[in-house]
Amino acid sequence: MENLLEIKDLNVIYKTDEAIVHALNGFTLSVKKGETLGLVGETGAGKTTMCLSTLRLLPDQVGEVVSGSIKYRNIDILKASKKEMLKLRGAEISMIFQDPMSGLNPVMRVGDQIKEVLNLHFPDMSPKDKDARVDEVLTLVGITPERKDQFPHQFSGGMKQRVVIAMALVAEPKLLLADEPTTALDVTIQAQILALMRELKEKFDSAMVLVTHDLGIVAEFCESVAVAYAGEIVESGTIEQVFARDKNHPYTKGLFNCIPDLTSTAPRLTPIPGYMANPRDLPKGCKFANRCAHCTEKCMAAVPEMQEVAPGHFIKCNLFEKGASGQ
Amino acid sequence: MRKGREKKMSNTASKKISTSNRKGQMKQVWFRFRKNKLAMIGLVVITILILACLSASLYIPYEKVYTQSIRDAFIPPFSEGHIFGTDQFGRDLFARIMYGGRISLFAGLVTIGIAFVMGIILGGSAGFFGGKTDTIIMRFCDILMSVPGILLSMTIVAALGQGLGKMLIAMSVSLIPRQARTVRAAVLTLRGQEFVEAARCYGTRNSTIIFRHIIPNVMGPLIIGVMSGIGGQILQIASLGFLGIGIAPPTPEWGTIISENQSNILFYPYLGLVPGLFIMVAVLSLNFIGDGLRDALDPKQKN
Amino acid sequence: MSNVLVETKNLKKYFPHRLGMVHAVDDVSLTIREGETLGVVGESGCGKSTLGRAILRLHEPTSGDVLYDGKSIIGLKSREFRPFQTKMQMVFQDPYSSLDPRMSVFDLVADPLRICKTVPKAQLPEKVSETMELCGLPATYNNVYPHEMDGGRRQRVGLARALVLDPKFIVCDEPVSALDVSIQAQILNLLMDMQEQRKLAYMFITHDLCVVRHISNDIMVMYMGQVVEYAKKEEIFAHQAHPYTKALLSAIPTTDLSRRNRERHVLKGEVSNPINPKPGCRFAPRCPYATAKCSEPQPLVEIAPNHFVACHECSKG
Repeated sequence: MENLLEIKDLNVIYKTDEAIVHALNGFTLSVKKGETLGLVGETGAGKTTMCLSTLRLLPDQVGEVVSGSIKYRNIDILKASKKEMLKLRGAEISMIFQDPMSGLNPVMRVGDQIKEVLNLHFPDMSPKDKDARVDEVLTLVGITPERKDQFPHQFSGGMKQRVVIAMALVAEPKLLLADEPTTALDVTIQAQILALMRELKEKFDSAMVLVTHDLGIVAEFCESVAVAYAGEIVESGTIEQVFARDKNHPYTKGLFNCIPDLTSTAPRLTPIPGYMANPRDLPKGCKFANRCAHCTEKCMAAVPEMQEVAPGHFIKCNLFEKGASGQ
Repeated sequence: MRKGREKKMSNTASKKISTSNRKGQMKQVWFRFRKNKLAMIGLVVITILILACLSASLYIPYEKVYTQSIRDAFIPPFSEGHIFGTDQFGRDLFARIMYGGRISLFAGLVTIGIAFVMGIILGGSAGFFGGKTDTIIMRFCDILMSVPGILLSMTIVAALGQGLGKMLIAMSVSLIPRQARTVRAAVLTLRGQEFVEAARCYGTRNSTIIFRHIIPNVMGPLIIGVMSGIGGQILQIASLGFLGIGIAPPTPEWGTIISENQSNILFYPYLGLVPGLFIMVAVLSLNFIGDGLRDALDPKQKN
Repeated sequence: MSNVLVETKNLKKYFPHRLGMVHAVDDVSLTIREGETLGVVGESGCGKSTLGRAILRLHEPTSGDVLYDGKSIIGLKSREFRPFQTKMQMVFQDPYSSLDPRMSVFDLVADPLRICKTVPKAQLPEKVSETMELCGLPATYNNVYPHEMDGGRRQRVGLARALVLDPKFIVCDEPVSALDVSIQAQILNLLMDMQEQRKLAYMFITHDLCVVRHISNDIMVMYMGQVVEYAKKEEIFAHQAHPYTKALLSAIPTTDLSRRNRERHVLKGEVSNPINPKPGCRFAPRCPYATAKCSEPQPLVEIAPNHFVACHECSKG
């Protein structure tokens, strides 16, 4: 299947007064049409930076793409004009933010906020059609259209997130970037929202990048998965390949071991020792080296190559080098 | 294996720390303050200014401030014997500014000092205790704020009578409500923070919580508010003087000097420019110091 | 079995609200034994944090009693309460707002000692560095300020601050939910190590059932201020009875692919506010099995030894 979004070797830095923060370091990722990709990583893995770069919404003056390319279909996002980007955002690629409270304008009726997206992307649509479309999309996300004249503060957290999803979907985008859409929500509400998103995604046949730190959500919701660590993808593959747990990057393995689940009986968890590498001062070689049990001289010396351990299953680790015995 | 290594490292590190004395809080603040060039310039300038004003009697005879002589009126600056020139009565501008600075700087610093302390006490207790205390204090502040500052000062002076001390009280009263509001808003956000709850958890008394945890955290906005108010204060002394309350001419004071020369400024601009320059330099220096202090008190600006 | 350390009896905490009284904690009775952990599970607004704070008297309870080691601590004057205060501490959820930004790590950990004076002044630095070391903070952190640390290290400071008074009981209010998964495991292990070494009793408040299963001995599920199910951990995971507990369990995403297409009880609707609630089951509006009988008060009934459920459907047979 053709790739909808292709990010290649992307390097993004944030310049602050004191230091340069290396947010993305050779980040490579591709999303196929209609696919749901889970992007897993912890704080500082570069998940949000990747979403913002794709929409070219990096903060001015501070965030900067140093090298690499982002291609959406055949459009080079990094070279596209402002006008082209305006057309893309919302209509072709849209984003759902983590915090539903800050994603909505508190002094604007929710119906009007959704309609604004239509005003931008479908200026020719008649006002009546727009209203009908707003009603339709609200019904889709499980909010009765009568509530469109209410303000965001009249909605609960889960309902707000539904409004945000309605806004993201109203122009029927081909690609949806969901940045931790359920982290701020309770478990039972999370289940509702995830079920809703799955349903809508199928209905519109759009692709989705689901950014999360929760491996469980990825396992239940996605078809393929990419694991990010310190601004690069260290492992990617289908859900079955990665979650089979026979060949994994040491970091992915560490993640699996340190989440308590509902079946294990071990008295203690096995945490990954140490802390995330400092993005202001990254090691030269593998970023995970100082936390890794299998670290060798070679890992410290240079960034490992991406190895294809099975068709479509990539691991960026020297352990899986061709000819090496693996684990 | 790894754990053992870490432990060894931390042991040697702990020895190193315990031998070197922990730097005192004030020392650290001074260290950070010194790194701010503008603030240091401000500190040096304001110190020179204050010292120069205080020691004015050592190098300018007191009579020069009041001696009038029509013959010497409107001598331009940089003339012999009158470095800043003279005013319409032939009084030496330099002498008047240096002697006037005593009152201006003193009054400015004292009023903001009073406002600072009262703002913390009133705003702090309103924000921290909430409920009725809050309502009473804040409504009282609202009443004070609804009266124009100058009118309020006039009323208070009228009630208390003339005099520098009374004028200072009058001026600080008009400053307090704004200050109290700033503090209250900051305290309200801090009060809900978990670290206040944590302190309460191990039995910290309210007063200790306020002094140890709340006030250090509201210092930043407070100092800025106070320091930027000082310029207005110096000018307000002048307006009060102009209305015949507080410092009355011919007693020199920076604001008064400007206002008494008002009618001649068009033809002899230096009469306004020179005292204006002094006010500006003083206010600017104090603002720089305020900025520097805010940053220095904030441990986030460590390096 | 070890002694009961902390006990609450019909504890209630109501807050005044514009529309009436919010029944944040409604009639909760629980027991926590020395060296054991009670996990309190529920969604946001179910009153679990308020319960923890009411036990420590950070919120003065509306009615009911809290016993520490058999002695009631409600109504004690602050001087009488002081000795209990050093025995009962709390670890907070937000590693950012729970540390005073103007204090260095050393001062943060030393602050409880300076207030409570449980050790002589001369021994204070030693006690502080000993506790810090225990929590994985070497002395190099003495002069470090909270903003220079990441969430995991901050939470270690929070734990050190609680442990420095040598408490017997710690309320942990979602201590790991703001942390990254790899750091979560470190902190959980640290908490469990401390418990083993010092025979600590924990009340572990969380919304994460996986974490609670890992760390607890007993589990209490709360919904809108009330206890809906209370039992031993093994019992609750093997024979959960209340429809809400069931829904909660099935909503947890798991990494086990074989469970991917399991049947799920996705709940409809959302938690509302317990303002002047009607008698009867508060979960009924979202419950798939609700009947007319649910509008009657639902007492906790022991359906198996030490397994309490507040649902008439479950206690019937």
